Amino acid sequence: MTRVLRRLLVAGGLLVLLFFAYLTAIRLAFMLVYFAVLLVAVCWLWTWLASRGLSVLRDTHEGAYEVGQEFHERLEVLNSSVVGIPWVVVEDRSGIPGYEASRVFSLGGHGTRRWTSRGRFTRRGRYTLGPIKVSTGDPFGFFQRTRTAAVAASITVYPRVTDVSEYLPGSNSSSGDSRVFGRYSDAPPDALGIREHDPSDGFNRIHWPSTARLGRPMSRSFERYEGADTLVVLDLGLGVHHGQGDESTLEHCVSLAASVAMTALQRGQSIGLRCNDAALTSFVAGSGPAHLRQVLDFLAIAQASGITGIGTVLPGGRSSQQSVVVITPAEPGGWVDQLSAGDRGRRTTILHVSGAASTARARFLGEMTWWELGIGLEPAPLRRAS
Amino acid sequence: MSLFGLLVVVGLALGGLVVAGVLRLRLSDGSLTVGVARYEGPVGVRVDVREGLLSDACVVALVWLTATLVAGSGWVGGSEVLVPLSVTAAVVCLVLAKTAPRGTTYWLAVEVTAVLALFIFTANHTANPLLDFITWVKGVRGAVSNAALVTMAGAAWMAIGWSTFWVARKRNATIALVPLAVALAVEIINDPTQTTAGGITVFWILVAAVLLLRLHTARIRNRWQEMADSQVWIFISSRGALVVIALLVVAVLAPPLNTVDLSVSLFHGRDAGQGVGPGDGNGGPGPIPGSDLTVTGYSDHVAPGGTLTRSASVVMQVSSDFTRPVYWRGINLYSLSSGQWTRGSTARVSAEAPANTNLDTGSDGTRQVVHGTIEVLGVPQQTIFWPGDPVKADQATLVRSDLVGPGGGVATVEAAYAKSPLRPGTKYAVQAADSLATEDDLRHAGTTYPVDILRRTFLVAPGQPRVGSVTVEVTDLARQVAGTGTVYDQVKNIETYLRTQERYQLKINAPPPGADPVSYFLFTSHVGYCEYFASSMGEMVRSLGIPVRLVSGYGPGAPTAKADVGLNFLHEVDSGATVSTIRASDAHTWVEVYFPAYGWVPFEPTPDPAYPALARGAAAPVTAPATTAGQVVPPVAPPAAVPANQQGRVAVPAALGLGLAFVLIAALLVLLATRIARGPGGGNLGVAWSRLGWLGVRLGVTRRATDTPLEFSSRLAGRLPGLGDEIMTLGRAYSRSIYSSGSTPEATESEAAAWRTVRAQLVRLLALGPRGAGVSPAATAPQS
Repeated sequence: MTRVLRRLLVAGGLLVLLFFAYLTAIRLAFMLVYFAVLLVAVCWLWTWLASRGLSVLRDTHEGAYEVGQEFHERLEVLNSSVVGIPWVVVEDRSGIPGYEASRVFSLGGHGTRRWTSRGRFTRRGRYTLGPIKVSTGDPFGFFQRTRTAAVAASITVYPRVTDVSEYLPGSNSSSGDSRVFGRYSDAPPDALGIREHDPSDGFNRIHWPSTARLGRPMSRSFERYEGADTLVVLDLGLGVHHGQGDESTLEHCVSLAASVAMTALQRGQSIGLRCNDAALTSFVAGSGPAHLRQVLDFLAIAQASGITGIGTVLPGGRSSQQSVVVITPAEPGGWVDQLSAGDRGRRTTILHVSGAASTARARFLGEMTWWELGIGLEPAPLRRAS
Repeated sequence: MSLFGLLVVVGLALGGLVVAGVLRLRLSDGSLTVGVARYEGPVGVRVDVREGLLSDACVVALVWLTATLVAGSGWVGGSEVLVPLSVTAAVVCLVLAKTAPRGTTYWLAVEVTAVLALFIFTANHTANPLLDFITWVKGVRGAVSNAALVTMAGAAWMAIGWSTFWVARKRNATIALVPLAVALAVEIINDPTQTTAGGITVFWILVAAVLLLRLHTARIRNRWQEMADSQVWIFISSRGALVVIALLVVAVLAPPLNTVDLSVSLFHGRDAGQGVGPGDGNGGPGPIPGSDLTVTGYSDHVAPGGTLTRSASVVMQVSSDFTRPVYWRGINLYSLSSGQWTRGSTARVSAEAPANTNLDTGSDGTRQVVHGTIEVLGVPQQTIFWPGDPVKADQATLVRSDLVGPGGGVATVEAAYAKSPLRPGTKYAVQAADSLATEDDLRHAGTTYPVDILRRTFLVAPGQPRVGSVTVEVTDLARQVAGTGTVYDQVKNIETYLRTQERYQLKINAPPPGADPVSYFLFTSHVGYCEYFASSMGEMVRSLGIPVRLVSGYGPGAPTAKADVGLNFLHEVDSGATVSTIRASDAHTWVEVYFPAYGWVPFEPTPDPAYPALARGAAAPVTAPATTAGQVVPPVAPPAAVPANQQGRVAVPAALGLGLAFVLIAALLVLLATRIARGPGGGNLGVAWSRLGWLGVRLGVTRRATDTPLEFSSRLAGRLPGLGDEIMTLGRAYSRSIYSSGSTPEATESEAAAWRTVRAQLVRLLALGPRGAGVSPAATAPQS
């Protein structure tokens, strides 16, 4: 029964009662119809006044958060009318899992209600805080008016980032800080600083302005050895992942990808990302906070939607300056051969997420490092660079 | 095996199963689970006995109230069974609603239990329940009255099933109340005569309000649980209760929009008895074809029957100059046959009597002329009503009389009719004669009855009842009750016996077919209405050989509020006469006994509280209208008190209602103004600051546009030293609030306390101004 029909029925019933009361001039019937009409009128008026006088303020912080991070917001409901409100339902329609800012309370005339709502992000994704529906009505529940406040804020929750440095190739030292025992031509061209000249340094490494100023030969030091591009390959194939929610391989893989990206960027590396999702998303190598945010924004909403195997996004050819990190729950197959075919001089790490594994184990397939990681493993959180 | 025996056996068997452990009852966490012992889990029935106890109780109470009101009207014979049946239905349906897994199962169970309960409550039970059931089904199909009762009870059961379903399962009180509210409204519209209806309705409204509040709060609580503030239920309930009580007061005090029953003009024939004309015989109380239903109304014969329902249709508005409430005579009845009193074969229409013809023979003793004015309301009428024995009317009439009177002329007018039906709004005036004989007069009246009287009352000679019309057992009872005193004492004893030993009631079972209604009343049922009492007294008196007749007409009616008196009666109102409204429910039958030299003297055997025993002796008219020559000017007597039950029927004057409503509204406005002036109790700094501004204006400390909050506070605090600290605290708090970023900061506890202190004196200061602030007029000069 629609609301309009219900109201028509009530109005019709009251009119019929009034008609018969008038027709028969029965005092008690008049009393009944007076009471019913007044009750309906008062309840409607009460609801209308209450609804008009209500306003909601929401003090929150939009931006990006990480799974596991706590947050809070302040809400304030004001009643600007002199009429007390029997009940106000402030219903928060935010889609954040496990978060509930809704409240039900009464408000006196000119009353104010404030509260702070706290929550913890439990799942990556892009969410909106709000909208807020504010409903109020009469004490008997005859009438109800609902107002919807606009969406307050947009929030992106990034995947949980953990310390995965032990799974990644290379050291944290910078090249050139120590003497190089190989071909210096391997050194990348970006200078990081200067140091005392070593006789084994080539002439092209001498930093002449500093040498002139200091009066002794100084050599340039270059960016870290790992400054070579790191390509993260994330398997987002449909049907590859298993498990649900936080316990799924998908969430674990996405979290690993975010962690690898974060770790690599903190080391000063530039990273690229390739996924075999439906759009075959690919991020070219880059560095810096903006690039990291781009990658994390994507990972926040990434879903296993691809219809092609991971082999379609693996790097081909020889690229000795590139580290490749493959994150997948897929069992070894042709893609491993494809990867090993082009890995000469390239550091390749495969992070294989398996529901069965309970510890992290590493094995080596040729020049590839194969890490077997269980879902239940919970690496320590990564400390973000400030 | 009787039904009761069967129930006992079933009960014992179930008890044995429980004792033996086959059935297991488990009460835990408010739920009663009945299950089979060898199974665990979902087998069995689980009833949450704690959930919704208040709402369940409300439903049962509402059902009980509604059923009581409906049963009180006695729409069908035996309808008193509706009350226990409905309460049983409420309990059974509540249990079913809480246990049935699906709606279909529930309604199926409701129908089965309805049939079972109807059988239990309305059938005659013997040792064979199966045979009883078959007989009952046949009885329901065969008898209209049984079918009507069962239909009504079945409808009640279904309506209750609906209400309990929506309360217990859907938790929606508004929809649950629909059938009960409709039943209540229909009942009030159709039978407004029940004296308890007002109280029941008010109680019904209060219980319904509790149910609405309870289920509404329960719905919010179930939906939001710990998200809901613990105080919200108190707020909702208290505000809801206040609203209901306030609206009830207004609804009770508000004057009705209309005081004239218009329904009779729409539904002609609703009370056909009012239109009785010469020769048209029947009307008023009588069987409605196809049912036992009867309604009250005037009739030209008396035939005691089954249950009567009061009709509130307005018949006429009347006024008389008699200082006592008068009965309005329609027709005299002499002939008694098979328990029915009729006008008799000797009384027939004689001829047309022109207007103002003297119809009174004037042969009887001391009597007073009473002037009456009647305005026809409702439907057209032909019968002329008189406030005593007819004397004259201001319009031509057709007179029904006994032609064999002294001198061959009209003896006593038994009834008179207008030549054509009088339309609603027609007003006519009559004069009638009422006996002024005292009790002593009547005791010494003797028994020398005129032959004409004996003939008209079918008495061969004094002390010899007409054989065949009165049963022997009635005669024996009459002799036993009457005693051996004077005729008046004997008649009075019979009247007293009937008034004290028998019970007045409209809802009765009709006498069995073929039974004498008077004997059935006097020796079996002992309950009845005026027709039973008058018929019984008539037969008893006549069995003693005393001339007696019955009179059919209307009782005094209810005094009409001055505001409701029509223009036709302005003259009567101005002269101080009482104007009364006569309804169909005022139709009445009484007894008149003939006393030599004094004529016909009325008696009132009906113990209806509306009809006290009649007073004897002289009574003065309210005014002193011109009397006809030769009539007695009676001595002045104190005005008779209005019976208590009639006082209760006087409507609340509209002016009083309006006055009270204004007082109530004024009180509410004052309360509202006070609340606005005081502002909220919490720490709302904006409102507090606004009220300080009001206070400043009242005390002459105006807030200038260039004032900062602290400057204004400082000046206001200077004017109110007693509240200086608090005002400064509020000024600082407001200053902080308007200069802080983001949302309005909350008031601290000290600021809230400061506001509470100021707020406590705010209304007084606003009302009294500088005087209340205790500052001198000089000090309150406007600030520069």
